[in-house]
Amino acid sequence: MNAHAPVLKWLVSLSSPTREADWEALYRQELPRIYNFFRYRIGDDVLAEDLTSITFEKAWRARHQHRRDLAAFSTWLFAIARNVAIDHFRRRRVEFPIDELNEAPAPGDLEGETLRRLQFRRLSRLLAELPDRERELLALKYGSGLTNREIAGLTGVSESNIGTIFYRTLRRLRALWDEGGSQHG
Amino acid sequence: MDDQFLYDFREDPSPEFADKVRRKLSDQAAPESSRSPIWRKPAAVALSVAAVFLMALSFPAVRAVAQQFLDLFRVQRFVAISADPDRLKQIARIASEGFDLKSLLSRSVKVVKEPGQLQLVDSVAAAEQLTGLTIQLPATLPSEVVQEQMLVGGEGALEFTADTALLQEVLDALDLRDVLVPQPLNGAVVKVRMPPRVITNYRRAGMARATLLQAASPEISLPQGVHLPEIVEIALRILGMSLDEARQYAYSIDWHGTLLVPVPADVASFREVEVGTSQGLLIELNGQRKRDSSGRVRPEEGSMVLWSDGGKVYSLSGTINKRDLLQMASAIP
Repeated sequence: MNAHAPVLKWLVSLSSPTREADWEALYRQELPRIYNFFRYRIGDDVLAEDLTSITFEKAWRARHQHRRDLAAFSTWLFAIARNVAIDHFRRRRVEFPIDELNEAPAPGDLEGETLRRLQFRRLSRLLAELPDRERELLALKYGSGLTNREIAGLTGVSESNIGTIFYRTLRRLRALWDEGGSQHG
Repeated sequence: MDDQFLYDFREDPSPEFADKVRRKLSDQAAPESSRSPIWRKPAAVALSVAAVFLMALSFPAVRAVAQQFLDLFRVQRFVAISADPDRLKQIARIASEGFDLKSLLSRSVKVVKEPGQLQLVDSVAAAEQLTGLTIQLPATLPSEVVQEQMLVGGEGALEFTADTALLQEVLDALDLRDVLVPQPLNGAVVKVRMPPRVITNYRRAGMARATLLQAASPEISLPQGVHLPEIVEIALRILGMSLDEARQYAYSIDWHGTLLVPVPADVASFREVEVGTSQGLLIELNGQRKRDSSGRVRPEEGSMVLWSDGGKVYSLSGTINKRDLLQMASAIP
């Protein structure tokens, strides 16, 4: 170990907006957000786990190249996740048969978790019908909990444009959902 | 279907999955690079060079001739200067060419006490017990800002013997031929004590975050015989000031307890602010668009407040807007 390291670490943490990242803390904070980004983006829990794992492995391998403040780390991690999703779709385009889109669960016979899972499955199928950009934006907002401003910073789409896209997309989603006879919403 | 309906499908990853990924990452853990990432950024390079330099050499003016050591240096205030971007690039270039900037002053550094890794704590009481500090936190937080976690770092201490030949090498590499290195510095034994520190992380809904660091001031002691403004003048020259400017500045400030913070002129601005009853320093990244490590061009944004109060130094930094950062800082009793 270089003998200056303790001084440098202390000084950097004191005199710069960066600090040595506490990887464990970052991991605990960001894992659910990245995981849910993929769940909403892909619609498959198992695949979401795989892609989340790939994202963190990529980040881990490149962590020394990155400025270590927390906010920048999140942005960087989401950039990796978005690229991982793009790679995934290049390899495998998921398509659902049209007739399944209108296959609503039978909520009268279902309760709790089972109903929720079926609803999410159905929602995922509807999301899969959206253009990639719209689905990604929805995944960032509803899956990862990012604000419109944060999504704008991440994607390069203006904040006002994002608001408009959400308005139109949600209107379309509602219509599709209602066509399927949902009992919710 | 409404917003809440869409949010409600979020799930926490299973603990088994979280552990599996954690283990996978742990298995891939490589030894830390011998070159800290901070040395790869020109601004950080300059900051670190100057900070090490000044932290090591900013000490009280010679007063007690009979004393073996000067009074201990403790940070009482922060002063910022603009650092020349071209000089920062020059420093980065010589660093990239293999010049060991970390050995700026000495090759014989003895770590007396390792500070160890940061440790997560679950309460203020636990942090106080581990550090011996009386921890101060904001009495109120801005809207939607919540405290996330608290970490503590242990005490560190080291000492080294200054070697002016090394400093001269740096000056030569920067082509600073008109800088005179004071010979009394050569062979001076510098002792540095880094007290325990407490880091508290905050988060606003989404990705905006803030980090509060508090610690007792570091303490530096150094034998008599070195004229402090001479050392500050060298540091200012390294950061890009002209000879006249550096000399005038170095002799215009009482460096007793003053920590110089170089701010890269092309990426950040600074101004003095009031933090409670103390005078602080606000540094703001100016949103310059830079290519990040994922290849995207993004604005660099964020602010930092530095201040000292009651024998402690504080740093509050993050992407929460500056007004709220200042509000948080001022809410610390």
